[in-house]
Amino acid sequence: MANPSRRGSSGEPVRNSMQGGNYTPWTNTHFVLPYGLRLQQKVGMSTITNVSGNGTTVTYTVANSYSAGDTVSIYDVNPVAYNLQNATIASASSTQFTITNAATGTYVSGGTAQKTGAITVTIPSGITFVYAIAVGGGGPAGATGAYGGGAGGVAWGWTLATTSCVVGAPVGGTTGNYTRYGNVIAGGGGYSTGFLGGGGGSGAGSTNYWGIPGGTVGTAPAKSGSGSGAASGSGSSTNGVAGGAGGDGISGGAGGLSNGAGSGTNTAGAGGSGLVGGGGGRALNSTTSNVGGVGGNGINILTGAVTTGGTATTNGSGSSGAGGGGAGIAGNGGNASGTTGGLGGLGGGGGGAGVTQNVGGAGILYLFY
Amino acid sequence: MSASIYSNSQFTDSPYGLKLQRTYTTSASVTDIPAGINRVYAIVIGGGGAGAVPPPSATATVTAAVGNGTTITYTANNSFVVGQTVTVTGLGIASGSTLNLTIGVTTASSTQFTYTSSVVGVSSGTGTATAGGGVGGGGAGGYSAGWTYVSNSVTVGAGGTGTATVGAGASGNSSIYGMVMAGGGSGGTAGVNQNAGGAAAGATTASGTSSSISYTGAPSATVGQVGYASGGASTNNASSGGVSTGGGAGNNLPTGTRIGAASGIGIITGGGGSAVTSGSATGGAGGTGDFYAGGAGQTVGTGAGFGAGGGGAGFSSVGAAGSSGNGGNGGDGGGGGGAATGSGTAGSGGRGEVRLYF
Repeated sequence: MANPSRRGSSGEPVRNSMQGGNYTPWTNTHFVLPYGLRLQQKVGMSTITNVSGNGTTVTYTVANSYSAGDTVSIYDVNPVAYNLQNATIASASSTQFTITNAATGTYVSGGTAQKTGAITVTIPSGITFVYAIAVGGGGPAGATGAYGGGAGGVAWGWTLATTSCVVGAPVGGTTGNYTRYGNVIAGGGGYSTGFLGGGGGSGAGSTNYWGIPGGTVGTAPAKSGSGSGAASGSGSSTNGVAGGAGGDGISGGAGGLSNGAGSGTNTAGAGGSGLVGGGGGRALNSTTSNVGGVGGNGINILTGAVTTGGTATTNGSGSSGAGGGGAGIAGNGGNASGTTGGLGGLGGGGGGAGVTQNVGGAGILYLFY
Repeated sequence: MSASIYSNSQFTDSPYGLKLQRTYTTSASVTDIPAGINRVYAIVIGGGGAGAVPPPSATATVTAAVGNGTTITYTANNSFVVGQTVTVTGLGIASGSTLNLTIGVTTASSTQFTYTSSVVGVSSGTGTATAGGGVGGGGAGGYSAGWTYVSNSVTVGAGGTGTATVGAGASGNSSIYGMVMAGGGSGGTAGVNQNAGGAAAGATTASGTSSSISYTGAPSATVGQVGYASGGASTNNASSGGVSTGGGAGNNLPTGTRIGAASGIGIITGGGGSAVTSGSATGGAGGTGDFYAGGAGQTVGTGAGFGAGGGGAGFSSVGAAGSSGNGGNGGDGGGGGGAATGSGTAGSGGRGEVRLYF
């Protein structure tokens, strides 16, 4: 049977498993990614295998293509002291890079480095079109003092191959940064409102690259509305009434605050879930118990596994319960600690709220061809 | 278990492996698509917007000034125009508050100019009024891509034509092939308190500093915002990034060392803003494109012939540099034109383009 709408697949570069009119999916069908293509590049991302710090310089052992002066953010290292954000590389070779920082500790496991900002991409000759999945940077927590950050937007589609791209960096105090490759662009998560698919930080979510509308804010303690970028939860200023959870969507909304003064328990809203999770909200002003909101869950689109939002903290009178970081597509959200919100997970997770607010996760860019 | 790739939406419409077969740079009849090819993948780019043109710089001696709480009236033989930015210096204070201000001219005649203000005061002595301020670069044309049924005609939008006439730049024009369309970039702005860059286009032609919705449905962006098509830059600022980017803003101050703002990075980019000052001026650069560079802003210099913006990068060629007070033309394939100084001609937007793959 002829296929009138699949001319592109007749080209030589189409992967072997897609050449026939029918094919047998692998057991894990998610390994067959868009149009049967294979993931070829995680732009600017590299896997850390060891870390050491001497009190002045932190050395990351990792196969990489970074250069001195590049900006990177580090995720999922145990111990967490080595998870530095927006750090400038002091020196780099193909097997390691260093950052000037006082962090120390014995390396246990894990670690991913993500370069952000403008990045040069090398595409093999003969590849004209590339399928891109872009995720914007997660929004930072802290709007009006206590909301989590909205999840970064997600965009996907075909684009002409180019040699340049932008990957969104973690930011504080404003909307997360965008990620773009060719004409595929994903916005950042909201500090207040998101854009281009980003979840709301303390307001509505946003319409994404494909025109799918964002969600609207509900009424606490109810969960807010879904959308491509879901809305943040509604805040509660009534003691004992929980803040609203962020809406679920492609990109989850931030959890709402809970700050009514009194003896009843204040519980902040959880971040919304989706491909990317929103950050949990902060609870304060209860004289008995302030419970932060957990971060929303996400999904690792390469494996199908759930990435988990960070846990929240509970604190009593005179203190705050901090929110967990939202999960990113490429990593779990960070747990809150004390009154510090959790770090957003790599791949757009929203930051967790707290006395010390945390930033969202860096954006990511996957290229298939 | 098996799955059909022909009746499965997960496996349709990949352009992967297609080859560029046709490129159109002007509107034309399309009669040579091979028989049997009913659908093609089209990349459609609208024309870029032209840069704006500011009034020329000028100075005048202020012999008196009065602010009554509603309007400040400066008495001076002048050649200023409404909307021009003027910095007044050197006046003494006979009563009330100082009237040495930087203003946007509300009304002007050959013997006086006014500014709407709540300041109350009366000046003493004489002062100097210096008029100037740059304007915005043009926004980039829209970029749309997708499958379409073949058509027997193609429309390729021209870029907005840059002129030497004081005012906003002309918008670019739309390009269309089949069901894929892209708008023209907006011209750079000029007028009362307006020095912003023109917005980039989405699927339809942009207007002022706000872009239009993209072909994919991504939302429009307002002044200064990132978007699929980003908004025009706000005064003194570079425009934000996007697939197509808005023009850089002009520097609105008429004295001192001033630099016009650049356009943001994208596939196609806007033109740079201009600077018009009695001091040293440098034009803003056209934005850096994915495939080509933007034009450089005119190199620093003092006088009316300096400070023009560079043209934005097009899909098919570089933007031209600003030169001799003239804004650089936008690159072919939708680049925005650079803004002029008061003695020059604005850069024209780059023409649109349509490419067909099958």
